[in-house]
Amino acid sequence: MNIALILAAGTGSRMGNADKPKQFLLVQNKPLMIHTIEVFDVNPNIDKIVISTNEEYVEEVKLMIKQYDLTKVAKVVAGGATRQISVYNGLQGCKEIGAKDDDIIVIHDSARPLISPRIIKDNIECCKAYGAVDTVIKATDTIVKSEDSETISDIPVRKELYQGQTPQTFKFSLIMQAHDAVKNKEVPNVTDDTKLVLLLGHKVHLVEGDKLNFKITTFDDLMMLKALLKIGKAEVL
Amino acid sequence: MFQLLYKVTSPGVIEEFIDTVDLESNKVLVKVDYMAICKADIRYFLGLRDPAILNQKYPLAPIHEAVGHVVKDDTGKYQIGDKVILIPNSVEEKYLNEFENQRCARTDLGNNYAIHSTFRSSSTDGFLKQFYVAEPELLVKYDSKIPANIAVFSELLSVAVAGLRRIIFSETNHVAIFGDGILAYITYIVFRHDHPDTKLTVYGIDKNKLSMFKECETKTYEEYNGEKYDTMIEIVGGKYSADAINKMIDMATVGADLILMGVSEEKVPLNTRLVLEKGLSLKGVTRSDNKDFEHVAKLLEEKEVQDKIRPMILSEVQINSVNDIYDAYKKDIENKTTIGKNVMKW
Repeated sequence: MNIALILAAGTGSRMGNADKPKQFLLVQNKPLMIHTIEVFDVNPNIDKIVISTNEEYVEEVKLMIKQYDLTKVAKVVAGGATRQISVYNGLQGCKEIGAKDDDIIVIHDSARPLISPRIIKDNIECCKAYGAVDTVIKATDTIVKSEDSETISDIPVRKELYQGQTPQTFKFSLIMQAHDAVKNKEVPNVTDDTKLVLLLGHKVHLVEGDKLNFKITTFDDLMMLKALLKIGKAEVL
Repeated sequence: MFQLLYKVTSPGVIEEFIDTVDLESNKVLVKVDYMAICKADIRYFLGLRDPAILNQKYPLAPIHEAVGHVVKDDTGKYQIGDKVILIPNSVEEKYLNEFENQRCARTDLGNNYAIHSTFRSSSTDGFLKQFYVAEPELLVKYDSKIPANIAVFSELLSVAVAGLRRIIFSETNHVAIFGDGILAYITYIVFRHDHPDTKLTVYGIDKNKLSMFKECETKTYEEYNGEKYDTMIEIVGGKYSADAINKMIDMATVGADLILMGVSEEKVPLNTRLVLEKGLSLKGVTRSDNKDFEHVAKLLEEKEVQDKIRPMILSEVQINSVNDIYDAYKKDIENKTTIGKNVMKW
């Protein structure tokens, strides 16, 4: 079984004065997260969907699932204060709907609505072979490292650098093991699940992402998405 | 949800656009599986039409030959997973009552000749996208055992069916097809299936291509030795249309039917004196109707039909980016020697 775990527990703190988390903002009269979930809902490689969202929005999300006729959503769980807790709770949700050790969990940000079916397919195929997958794009800008935020401490070799996206995809047993290993521990500098898997000493393979699979984090990102949609509707450019 | 849609924006240029996919009520959401490039798509891509017309068309998503499977259905007509042929032409009901469209009700003609009818990839965006929201009547279900890379030839088959539907046959007629291209071959497949015992001759210029027409007589024009034909089907098109149609007029019996299916951008001078003298009928056919697609879905179930279509799959091009679409166009444009297409799949 292939389960999509959709993370929709962000606070939208980088969205200025928005009164709702970014994943609930309406784009083309539909919440952003619904656009994202629909891609998984109609994908033949996905069997079930689990959504991890803010505790206060669980009931609203359940209502939206009915309203938008999402047929594969099997569980909505309350996330937590950090990404790590939200994923962990989502994995518990996967367990409750019957996830087995060899099942594949495709973890994706609800704020990346331009995820393509090709990326989902590549994630699942690569995960079947290697057990752990990260979606990345090659860094095109030079990345500068600064330890004091004032001066450059290093300029890493660009060809070795990639920008991480989601999905991140794992065999269920592996990602559970990775989370159990750090459960109730404060693990510094962990921003995603691949880091936890690396801490176990397990290799994580790369799948090519897409620049369009960007995350809607700020108003600038939202403006970019809306601009792309307007261009798509233009009769004459 | 959102998806990528690809449009030709100017001659030789295909660009990516973001498209919103909304499953409206009483519609069906289809995942497009296979697509094929038509000669008309190539003409739009290369800019081989009147610039004034092209400027009105661009930007335009190409492709009107496609098959897919149902992923959601708000109509109750389809099951999830049903394999379907996408019908590219449609006309709104309100236009059918207009005086100039009333003749379309004739069963041999069909609604797709109506003024204001739309055709995907010509008057509206085509199927070059992963998901398509369709009216249920613009889909025809086909047997799931039929390979999708064969079913993608359905639109061409439907045009051949429409062409043959316009002819009143007597099985004793001697029939000739003029042309050795893909639509000629497809028409040969349909004709041979529907009329296995009728005498058929195919005229062409390329002996290699003619060798694919195995179950009939084939000839180059130089090999013509004075036979007369009761029914002739022109599928040459382009700049050689005039030569082919005038040869047909010469070879026609008195009262013969001439079916014109080749598209030409030029006006074609014809020997009308001989048309009058022989009392010939000329009928134009390029537009198929829903019932033609339904006939095709049945035809595709026949193993012998599938076996004849299979050699036309020259390659399968996996589309992951706009570059792959360019590659598929390039392959089809450069292919001058083999009957077939480089079919695209998502």
